[in-house]
Amino acid sequence: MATKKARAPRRPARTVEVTYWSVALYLFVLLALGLLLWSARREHDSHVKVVPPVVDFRQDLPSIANLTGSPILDGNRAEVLQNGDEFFPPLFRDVEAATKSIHVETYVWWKGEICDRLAALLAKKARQGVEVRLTLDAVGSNKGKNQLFRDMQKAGVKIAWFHPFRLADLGLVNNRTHRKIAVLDGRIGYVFGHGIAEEWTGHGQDATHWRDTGVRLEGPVVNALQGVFAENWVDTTAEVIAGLKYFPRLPAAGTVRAHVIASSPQGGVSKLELLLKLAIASAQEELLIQNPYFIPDEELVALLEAAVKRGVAVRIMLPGPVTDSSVVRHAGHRFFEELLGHGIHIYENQRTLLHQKTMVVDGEWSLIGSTNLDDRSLDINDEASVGLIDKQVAARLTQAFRDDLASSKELTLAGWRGRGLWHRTVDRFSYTINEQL
Amino acid sequence: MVAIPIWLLGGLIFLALLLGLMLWTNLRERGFHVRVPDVASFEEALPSIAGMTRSVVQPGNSAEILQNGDEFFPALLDAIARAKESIHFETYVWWTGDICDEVADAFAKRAREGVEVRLTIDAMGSMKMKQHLRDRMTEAGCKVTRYHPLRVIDIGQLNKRTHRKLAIFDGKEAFIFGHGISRLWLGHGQDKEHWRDTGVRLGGPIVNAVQSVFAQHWIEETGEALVGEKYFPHIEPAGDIRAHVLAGAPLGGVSDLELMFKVAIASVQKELLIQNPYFIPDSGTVKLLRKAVERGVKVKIMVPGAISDSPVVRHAGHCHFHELLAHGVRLFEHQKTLIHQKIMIIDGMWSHVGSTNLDDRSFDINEEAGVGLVDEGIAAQLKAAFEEDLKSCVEIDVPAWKRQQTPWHRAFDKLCSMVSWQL
Repeated sequence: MATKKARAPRRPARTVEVTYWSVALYLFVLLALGLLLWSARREHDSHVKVVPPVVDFRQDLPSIANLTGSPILDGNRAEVLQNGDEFFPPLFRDVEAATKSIHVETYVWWKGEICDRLAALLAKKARQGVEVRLTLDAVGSNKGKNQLFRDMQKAGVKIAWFHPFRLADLGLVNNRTHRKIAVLDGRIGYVFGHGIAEEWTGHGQDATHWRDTGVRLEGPVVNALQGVFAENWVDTTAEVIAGLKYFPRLPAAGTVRAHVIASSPQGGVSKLELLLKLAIASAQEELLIQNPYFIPDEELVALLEAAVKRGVAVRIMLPGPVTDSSVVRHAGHRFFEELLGHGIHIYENQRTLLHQKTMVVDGEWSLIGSTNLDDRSLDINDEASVGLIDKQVAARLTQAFRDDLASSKELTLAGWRGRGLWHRTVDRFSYTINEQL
Repeated sequence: MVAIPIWLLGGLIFLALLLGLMLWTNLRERGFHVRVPDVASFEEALPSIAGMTRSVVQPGNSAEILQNGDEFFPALLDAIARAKESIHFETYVWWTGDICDEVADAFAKRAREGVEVRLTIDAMGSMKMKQHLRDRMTEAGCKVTRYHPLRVIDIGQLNKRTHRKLAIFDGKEAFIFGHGISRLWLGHGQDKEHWRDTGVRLGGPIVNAVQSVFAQHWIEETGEALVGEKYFPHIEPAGDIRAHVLAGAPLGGVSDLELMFKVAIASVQKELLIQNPYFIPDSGTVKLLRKAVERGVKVKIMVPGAISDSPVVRHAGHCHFHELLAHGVRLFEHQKTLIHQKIMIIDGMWSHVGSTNLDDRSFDINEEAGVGLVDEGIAAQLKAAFEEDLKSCVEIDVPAWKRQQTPWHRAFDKLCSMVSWQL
């Protein structure tokens, strides 16, 4: 090692003598371990490559539901809840009214008044003798106040931390639960994009009040949602949730057909990736996407282009300058020129962080949930979304898309091509690390 | 000899340990001791089971039990001959010769006639299958994919096999079975060269769910998504059996199948019958079985006797035999042939038919598929078969078991159980 300043001759480092064959053996072991690890972790060719030309979304919906392991259930009621203003009040009301069990799973639980209020309410219900189970992601919720969690636990709330940092679970650290669901008395379900934090209160009015969308569900689909909650609950606590108390027989509560798509990283092709690609492949008229994180792969880009070619109006709305992850934003830029060149409309919301993960196909089928359009959501995290087959739900989300257009700017190909060299460099760099974002 | 600084040596050792730790934490089965609540009846547990295994109990199905090769292979070959549009087939064992060639030729014939034939064959289970047999099918137009082929880059997946046994015809008729494609599964379980096994032929809406199980590995290995009414038709009710598919996707949490079996044992009220070739209960299962006996459930478990294709598994299972026997669980060893069927019957109303063994490999490592059938008629049929099999069994009683359990035998059992999680 070269040193800049002159100094007394260094004492030679203590060395050990090792034989060549032990060096070779070491290298072999290291290589073998590395290979095993990489091979066990790598996605086993798990990308959907051959998506058949789908004739009709309506007709092929059963295929899509079956392929994604989410059978379509009839007879549900679905109420779209925009932003915190429409989401928190009904959630609090339903929690307040619950008499048997309150199940909540979320990624984000930070600090603030909304957190204190929800914690107080959950604690109160637990003291009343209602079973309260809360699954929190150990990374997403590490900013929460410890005192708050302790108080809830003292009141009888059972809290399960998903994949906490433990040496023995080092290999699981990267797999988070990004699911946001609530199930009350096994009869009312919520699927949403909101975190439990001040950012999600309000109505998306500015950079500190984000835009998000959830849905309140009643009917047979709530059983499926309870199953999704039960899955991570048993994984973290080993307690099986079984019995009519949690899975009551649910009569029809409306006319919406619904299916829950939950995905876990292991076990082959990502169900959400499959769903996304099949939905795009099957759109015939209009495809609306609102998502905070959009990093398409080449196949997705090809599917979007094919959709435009067969006459589908494709509109994608993403965050603009207000984003909580500018690396993700830039990584998504990689295919923008190509997408714009093929006639895909891309809008950037200027007012707030657009955090909702929604999709509407042909004014018939809508998707609401936690799933971002990037590799982390599609391949690494646990996610949950619900597909809703109902024209009214689709119409509400379409209207919301139009309303958001008012505070969005459409990107133009000319404008995009004129972006600076620095911007391009950031885009390129961001994309190379995109898999883990 | 080469001299290296001591810090470098330390660093290198640390690096190797870190990699080892990451690998272990990735692959290890996390120690779950599932707590199952007391459930008043199996019927009450059913929606939970379906919910947690991500399936739906669907009404309106027909089911026909197919015992041994004599009933299974003719029905399979007949369905192959009748299919009009698509034939999908997934299996673990497929060798060469006799019946193996016959089945291959049947697939090849239909492919030449324009039927879409897709075959998923486990690369390990079909090691004894000759290349020319696969070529014969591929040349005829069958699409053949080998599940988790033995490649260096897949070395980390090597241990994970598909043990599923499925067939779906035109998306409307499905078979779920325990049989391998080999001469060992021919006949009617008459001797040790002709094994005992059970399958089921299904009709009705449940076939959509079986198709989706097939589609999982197909898309994983080929990237082809099977979409269309051809594969997932709307199916009218074909009977009055309620059914749900149990397909285990292991790793990353509690195994669906393990959960399913434990909840089932926890909720049985009157009678529990189990036939399985590989039975290695963990202490949680033993406790659940004991509790079942305590609340008055008659528990009868039939396992292979001396005729076993895996003596290590057999001995690993022995570790808990004494405890089970002492608590009133009745154990029977089949003497005539290898009983290979994976049957469970609960309270004469719910039955399981499929590929799942009652050991860690099936629960935690392999990909499995089974079907739960809610029907008294089916349960009665399977129970009759159980009782027929009892005639070729010897019941293990406590004194006899004690005599047999020499220290040497016990040490061997213990040794076997230590490696049992990989068996």
